[in-house]
Amino acid sequence: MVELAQYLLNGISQGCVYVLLASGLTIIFGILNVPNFAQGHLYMVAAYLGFYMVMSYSTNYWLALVLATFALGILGLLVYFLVFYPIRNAPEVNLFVAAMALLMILEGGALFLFGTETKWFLIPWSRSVLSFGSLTLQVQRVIVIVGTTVVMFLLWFFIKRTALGAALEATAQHREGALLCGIKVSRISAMAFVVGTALAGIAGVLIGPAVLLEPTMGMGPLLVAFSAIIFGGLGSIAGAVVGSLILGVVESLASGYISAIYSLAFVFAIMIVMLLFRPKGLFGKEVWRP
Amino acid sequence: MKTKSIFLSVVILLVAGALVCPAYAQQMKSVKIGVISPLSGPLTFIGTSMLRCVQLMVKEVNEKGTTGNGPGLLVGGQRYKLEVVNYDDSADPAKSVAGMRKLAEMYNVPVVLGPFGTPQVWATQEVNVGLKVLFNGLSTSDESRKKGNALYIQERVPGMYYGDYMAEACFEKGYKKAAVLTDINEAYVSWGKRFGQKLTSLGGQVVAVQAVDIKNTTDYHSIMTSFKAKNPDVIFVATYEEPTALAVNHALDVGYKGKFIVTSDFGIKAERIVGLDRMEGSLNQAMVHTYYRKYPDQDKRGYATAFIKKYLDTYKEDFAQPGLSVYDPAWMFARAMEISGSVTDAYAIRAACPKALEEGKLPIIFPNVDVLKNGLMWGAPELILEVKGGQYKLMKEFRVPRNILE
Repeated sequence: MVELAQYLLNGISQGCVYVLLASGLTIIFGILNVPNFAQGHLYMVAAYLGFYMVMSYSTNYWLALVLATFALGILGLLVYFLVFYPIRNAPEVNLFVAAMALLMILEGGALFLFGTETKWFLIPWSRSVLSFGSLTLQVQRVIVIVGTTVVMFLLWFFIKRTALGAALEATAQHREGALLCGIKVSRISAMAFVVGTALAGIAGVLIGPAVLLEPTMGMGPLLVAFSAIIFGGLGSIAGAVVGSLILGVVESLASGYISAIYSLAFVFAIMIVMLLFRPKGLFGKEVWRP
Repeated sequence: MKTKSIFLSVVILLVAGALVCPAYAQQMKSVKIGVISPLSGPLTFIGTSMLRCVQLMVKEVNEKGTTGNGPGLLVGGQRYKLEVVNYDDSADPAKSVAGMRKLAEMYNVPVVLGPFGTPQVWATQEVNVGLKVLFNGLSTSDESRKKGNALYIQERVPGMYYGDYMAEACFEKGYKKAAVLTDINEAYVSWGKRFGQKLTSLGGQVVAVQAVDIKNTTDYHSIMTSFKAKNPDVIFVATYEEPTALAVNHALDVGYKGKFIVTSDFGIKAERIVGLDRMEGSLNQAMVHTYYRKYPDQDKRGYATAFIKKYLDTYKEDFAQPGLSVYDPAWMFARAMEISGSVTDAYAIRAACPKALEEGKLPIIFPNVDVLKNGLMWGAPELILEVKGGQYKLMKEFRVPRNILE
């Protein structure tokens, strides 16, 4: 029983990273109808930014978290205006290709700027562990769980309790309707990109001290995050959250009870089963056809 | 008047230059040697160390020669300057093969150091004979030298044989229940299997086994949770350096209180990631430089210590333990070219390799090493170190018997 509980805890902590990535993907997809393939690489960039701020410039970790999140938000804004805004009316396939190109550019840029050698954070609590009875978790993983919970609450508050958030939701639900209501859709789209990439930024700096940093580190989490939004229902933030946590736990259980080699296979198999029996996902409102 | 002075100055400079520069500088030809190593991806640290070790050797040979007979190589009365051409294979077997082809066909290299990793070595073994290139591929698999490749040098005894000594050391320390984590690479799997078999034969027990693809694994928490549930005395970890460190860290994260036994891949970088003080009582099957680096006074022969100083002075950065395994073969290849009288004939160079080591004149890390007929370089001592008080203490030194490797 303790073993199972530990797997659940491990899965939830990993799932929280997927939650942040998947929520960002959902917000961007909801507004622009484009799967932002670069989300995992933006997460990687944030982790490196945090690393350099903390390790090279002795910046306080929490300050680094805030700065990296802002930096990623600004990067998101640039990406939107330089890449996606000019082709906003182009066929969807162009947006797909642009997102893929962005992924390649970010990975190449990271290789050039950050080098190929694996890096790791060493912050005061990097090696500390918290115990909850027989269960234990690295302090940084606890921070990931708490941080994700706080961020998701703030995101919910922003969307449900502010006018700007309401405009974002309205645009995601019906773009033309939002336009007719006087919502400046292009500004809302830019804001969606800022929020989406900032979420990737938070994920990167939160998990950074618990993993090894390398330019390809975003690819694995991105795949699971994409699976999570399909599993949870495309366009639904609640779906992204639940899907991410479920897939994180599935990955953990498969690693522990079966084999780590097959853990991702289980994640994708469950996603496929979901698509077969409930194509719109857990919380999706309509079937998504690319 | 002014023009005349300038002209005279130029003439004087040219004459002086011609007198100062030795004649050989103008007569030297160059011979290229190849390096295939991962300079991108998770094994970059190792690949960079490999390349640097070869560059270090080349610099020394070009300055002093292989046996102080320099500068450069002296082959059949002709002096050669060594040049390094390298290829980044990202530890991808397909790229290793492409690298071998490129180095052979574009640069006519007679010898290659690398690639790193058993899958990469096996793939490269499919093409090197056809390309007539002698290579030292870093594989710790027992199968690598048994494939009958006439132009392959395996620089180190296959890891699986160390499994016996590691199991004995565990048993000696009272670590009788073990969990085994290895990479899916055959070399590591067989290493873990042999360790388990030996431990079992001694009366111990293997309570859990997992093989992972380290390239796709970033989270070892659940694996370590499953290990912890089986209550082992020791966790055997055989993967590359950083993944080993991550796995150890994640075991500690989930509250594992037992010991670890790690392989020689666990180098200085891994020590820093984990912190030796958190591995009290754990064991490391290490190459000599891990120990001599901390205790240079224990290095009676001084070769390893001299190498470590040279590397750190030159690059101001640490090296990966497996990465420097190419240093000695690189010296051996250079000297073998001189002995064979050829910088192009890979078979002749291979035939001269035992003699190059037998002379005992090379400033290599592991003197008294021999090349067996099957291409294995045998004779380097191995160590089992124990972590005590956050430091390594020597537990035992051993050599795998030659007769079982021939």
